[in-house]
Amino acid sequence: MIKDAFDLKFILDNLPKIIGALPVTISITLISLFFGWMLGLIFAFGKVSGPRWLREVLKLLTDILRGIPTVVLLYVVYFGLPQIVGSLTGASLDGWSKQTFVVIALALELGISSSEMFRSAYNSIRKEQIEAAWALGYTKIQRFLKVIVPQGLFVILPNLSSAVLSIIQATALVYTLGIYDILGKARQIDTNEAHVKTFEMYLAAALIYWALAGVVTVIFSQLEKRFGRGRKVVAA
Amino acid sequence: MNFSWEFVLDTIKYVAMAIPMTMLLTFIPVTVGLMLGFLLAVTRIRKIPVLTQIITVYNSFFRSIPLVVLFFLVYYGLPKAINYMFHDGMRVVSIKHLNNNAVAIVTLILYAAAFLGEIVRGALSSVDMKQKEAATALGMTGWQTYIRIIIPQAIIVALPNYFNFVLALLKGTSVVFTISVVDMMSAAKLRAEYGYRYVEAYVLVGFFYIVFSILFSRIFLAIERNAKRHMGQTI
Repeated sequence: MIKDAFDLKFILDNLPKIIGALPVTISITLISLFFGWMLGLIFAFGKVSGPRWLREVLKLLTDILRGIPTVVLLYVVYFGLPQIVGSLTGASLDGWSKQTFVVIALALELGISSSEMFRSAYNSIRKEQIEAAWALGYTKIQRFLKVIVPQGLFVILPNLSSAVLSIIQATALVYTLGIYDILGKARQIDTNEAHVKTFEMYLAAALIYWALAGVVTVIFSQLEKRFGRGRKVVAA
Repeated sequence: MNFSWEFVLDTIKYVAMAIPMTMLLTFIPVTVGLMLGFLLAVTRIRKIPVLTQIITVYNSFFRSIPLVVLFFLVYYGLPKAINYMFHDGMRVVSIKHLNNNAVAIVTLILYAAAFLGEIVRGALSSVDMKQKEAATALGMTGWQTYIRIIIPQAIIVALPNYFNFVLALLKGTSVVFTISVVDMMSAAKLRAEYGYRYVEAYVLVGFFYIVFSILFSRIFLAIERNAKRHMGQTI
């Protein structure tokens, strides 16, 4: 009978290699967050002040994207987008990297889920504030940057934090497309070692995800302290 | 684009046959996980030493790590744990002795317990302390206070979050194909790879998930309204 050993040394030896794949996970996360929140702002704007047909379209899109699992959306975009673009324009997307499709799928999902958040943050700003901005002769852009963003940002910080965490978790699915992110790298090492240290490698990957989530949580609690400065705490 | 309706019609029955598995993977964990989560929440509220710290670490771990990694950890870790506990560290049990469906459900229960524990804790602590004092003044015991006064009010607070988690888990279960469990997504993936028709299969299975999502969210909304009415609340 073989001893079913737990090999801590193997984890420590290979941890640097897996951490080497961290830029892949982080870059997919950051780029998806950027485009996702951009889309979210646009969708929120459409929901607040768009024409009726646009609001109906956005509502339908919201129902669709809320109900569809991330992995299904990822595969629909990955396999479907080249076909749709191909049949509509005849252009080929063969040159696009896998990461591009991942970012499109994650950004779409985040765009819809964050649009609600942006909308309620906008609604949470009191009307007098906006009137005051008018009275001061601010342009629309000034009003947005100087009045709405600073106040709205504090309100949505907890939601931003959980969005970052859920995008990081969603990126773990990209290994199924053959991208070597943290999980992909851990699996690759496991394969190279003839699958004798499988548990160890998944544990190593898990520890890195755990640490990453810890870092994100710390960053956001610092941000909350910063943006919360000078705010009167209104007891609920 | 050659979208094959024939393939879609053929795939529908494979995906439909996997509906029960998706439902089991969703509803067993949210039921068992709720009971476990309740125990975790009460332990944390009572601040029982050592256990409280362990639960904090547990919650953080299960909430921070991608579900797909959790599946792998349990799938490969469970035989190891059994060997260490019962077989003196000898490799007696290995993954081929495990039932993948059971592994998936166990993982999801552990996962749900971490999330639901937090939801229950938030709901229980949201009940006004004065209610507790009033119950004590009426001569109720600790358990009576919990069951008659605190839990009914906490349920109203917890319901929307609980149902949100159910909907999230319904979608979350779609990664069980990674440990070869045949749910709706997995069935679609198998057909997609069999027939080389990926778009059709994934669009179809996406449609299934969307329909169930909308259906359940309607039902949940009705339950929430009903519960509020019974509690005499109008908001």
